[in-house]
Amino acid sequence: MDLKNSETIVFYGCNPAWASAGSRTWNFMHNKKNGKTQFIVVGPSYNATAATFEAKWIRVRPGTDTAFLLGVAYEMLALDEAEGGIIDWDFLDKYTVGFDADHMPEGAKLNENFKDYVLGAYDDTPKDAEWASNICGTPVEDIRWYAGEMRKDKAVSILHSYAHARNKNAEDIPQLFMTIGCMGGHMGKPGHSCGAAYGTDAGNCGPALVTVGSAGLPPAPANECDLRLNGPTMWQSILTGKANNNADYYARRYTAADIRDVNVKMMYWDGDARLQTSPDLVNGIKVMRQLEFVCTNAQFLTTQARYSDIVLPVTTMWERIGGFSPYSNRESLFVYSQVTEPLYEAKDDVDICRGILEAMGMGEKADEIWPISKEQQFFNQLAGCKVINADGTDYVPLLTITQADIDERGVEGTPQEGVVDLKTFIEDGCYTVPRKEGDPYGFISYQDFIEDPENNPRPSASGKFEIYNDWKADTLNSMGYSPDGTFKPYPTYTVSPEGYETTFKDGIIGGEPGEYPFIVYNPHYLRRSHSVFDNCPWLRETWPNPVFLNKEDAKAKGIKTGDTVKVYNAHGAILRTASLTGIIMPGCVGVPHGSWIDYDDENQVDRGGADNVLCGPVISGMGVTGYNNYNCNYELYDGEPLVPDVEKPQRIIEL
Amino acid sequence: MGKLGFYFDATMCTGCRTCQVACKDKNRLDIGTLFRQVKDYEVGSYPDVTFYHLTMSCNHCEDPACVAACPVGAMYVGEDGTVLHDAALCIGCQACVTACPYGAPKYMEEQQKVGKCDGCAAIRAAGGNPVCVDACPLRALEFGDVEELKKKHTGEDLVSDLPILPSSEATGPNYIIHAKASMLKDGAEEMYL
Repeated sequence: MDLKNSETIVFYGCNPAWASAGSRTWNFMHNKKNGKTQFIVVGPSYNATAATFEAKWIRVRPGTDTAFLLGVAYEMLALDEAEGGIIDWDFLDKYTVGFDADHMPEGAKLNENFKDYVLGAYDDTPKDAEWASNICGTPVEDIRWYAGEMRKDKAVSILHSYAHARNKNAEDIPQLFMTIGCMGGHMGKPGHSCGAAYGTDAGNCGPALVTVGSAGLPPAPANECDLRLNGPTMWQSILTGKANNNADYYARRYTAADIRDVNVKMMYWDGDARLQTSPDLVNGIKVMRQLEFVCTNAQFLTTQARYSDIVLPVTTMWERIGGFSPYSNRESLFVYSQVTEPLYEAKDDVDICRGILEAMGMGEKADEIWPISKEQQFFNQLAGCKVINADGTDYVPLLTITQADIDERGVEGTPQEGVVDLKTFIEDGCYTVPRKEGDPYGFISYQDFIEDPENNPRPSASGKFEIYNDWKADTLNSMGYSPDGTFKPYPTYTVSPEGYETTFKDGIIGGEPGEYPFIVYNPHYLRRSHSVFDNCPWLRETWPNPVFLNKEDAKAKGIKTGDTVKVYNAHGAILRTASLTGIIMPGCVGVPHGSWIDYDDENQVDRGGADNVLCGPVISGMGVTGYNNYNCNYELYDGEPLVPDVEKPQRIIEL
Repeated sequence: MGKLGFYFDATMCTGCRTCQVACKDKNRLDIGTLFRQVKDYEVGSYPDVTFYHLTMSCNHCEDPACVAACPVGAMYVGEDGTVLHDAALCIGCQACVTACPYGAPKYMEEQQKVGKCDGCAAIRAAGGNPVCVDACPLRALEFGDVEELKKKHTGEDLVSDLPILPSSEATGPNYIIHAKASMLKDGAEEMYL
């Protein structure tokens, strides 16, 4: 609700109209209808969100946001010096460390700070709008305009999704994005924000007002194997037998390079669509074929199911006892119920696991992990559902449950009083906390810290936002993917191993074009959620999944909309139907993310248009998966033209 | 009763095609048949470019060309003024397909007959809304008495004519659009999204 107070809303690497589809876009409509909000979209294309909100497009080449934002920082400093009123010096002083020489954190190893770097004190290169524009392609006047829009006295919401971070060489993006927000003081006060607008939280963040109870299971046993493979290079690790065990994303562990031997014999895909959605897909399939044994749990003939020796049919949510959708907004809780008994031989994941443990003579392990029945687990979750109370100070039970309810389900429990009765909740499938203006459920990120930094410090060493942080530089420099000394404790510009510079033959901007002179990015596409539902004929009919090409670039190659085009680079080649448009920057190619691979082994080209055939095992820094800045070239395809995806045979197994 | 038709708030539309697929679902349409279709149009050229979406089913016209063209009376004006199709009478000659300036009637290969939007007549008779109206996540579609819809949306510049549409003078479509500025510009090109 506080978003209504924003005068400017920036969608940075963010496209809720296509990537947070449905009612999330509605969250921004109050601002559109008031006619007073300036919408800005930053990225390589004038996307569906830009069109919906008639936003100003600040165009930035894929993977060049570090340069763009450094240019913005410089121009904010310049404008503040010329006119005043841009930079919130009080905010920087009170809530951050490392911005300038007078605000270094205790024990800082380097006598260097962000401001002096931006002004060019260390490398004789002021990061001004001209410098930035040369890299990011944004007109100089737009960089200066954007810098002005970040002014402290404007209520700005700088909202990002993850497109600009899902690039190779994006390591400095988070710290830099935060720094820009701090320079304008856009945190912790009404109408201001600097953070994510992503997925189901787009435009509506904060602690959940209604929550699910715990199933009552004991904690899962720890994984005794500590080896973690880096995602983009995992196939290379398996093929070469060597891996760098320097990170575990889910455990938030980032450590120095630690090269280990790797000897993988089998693969068990227990879920996700990791083969399809990881880079280096052609090598991924090669690995699948080389491994001794590959097994997959699947509902559909996904890519990893196709390349498996054994597929275990697993149930969908409709075939299960019931549960809760993890995708919601903070006001709503969605509960689903069983619609049908499991089809054919499908079993749910737990029963598959239990069956394997029993076959291995370890059935008692299953009882340790799941000591209570599914009915009891579901009931525990229901009984433990909580909802915010009227004055927003505490949570109370959501559901009223009677002894009859308990007996009917054949579980253990005690009756309880709540806000809605169990049967109504199950029947409705949903409970939503009513909201109104001025209610006590509003949320502004960082408000506690901003209002009382002494008693509500940030969870950092200094208790503040750290524009200088030695641990960041030391860790990144030791991880083994970039030379030591590449990273500084404050955000700096470094060159990506694949990106804009590599579109030039000698890696120098402005030189002769290289073999792969275009930058590819992978927009989310409404035919799918990542790769899920790509096999639905109605969705294939509705969304044909072309490759988006800048109109002038494509015309110069003799290509028109509807032609079959081969898009290729050193990692692989795909075919897609061309869509010429003026909504993407020259030099860029948009390959929609997630299309199921349909590899033509003979002609070594993917007729499905899978992004990860082109996205290769190229990493630097901390090994970020860079989906949005790799290189390619493209041309008319002289082989068999594509048929529309909807006309391809459905990928099913006829029994 | 006044004339019935759709209202479309193009300023809210994200082009998600939920309306198109909801209609397909309710009418159990095969691949290749759409009673409601969303299209996207690009205006201007890089970098001064924008685009908009148009959703359209049947415009339940004042002077429906399909009714005039139908040799067997399968296309007719119903009691509530909407334009309806009697599949039992239809001989699949496609005269209506040719006649309609908006492409509303669709020839269905498998049935060898035509079909089109009837404004979800049966659902409306039971007190509900056309499924496209209820399905739209941005609530961009409404259906009802056109004069009442106009009153409800007083202050919005409502149009039935756009540069990309045939002149409303031909058949008098009961379709009122709250258009975006870009929709009123010439030179729009259909996109392939």
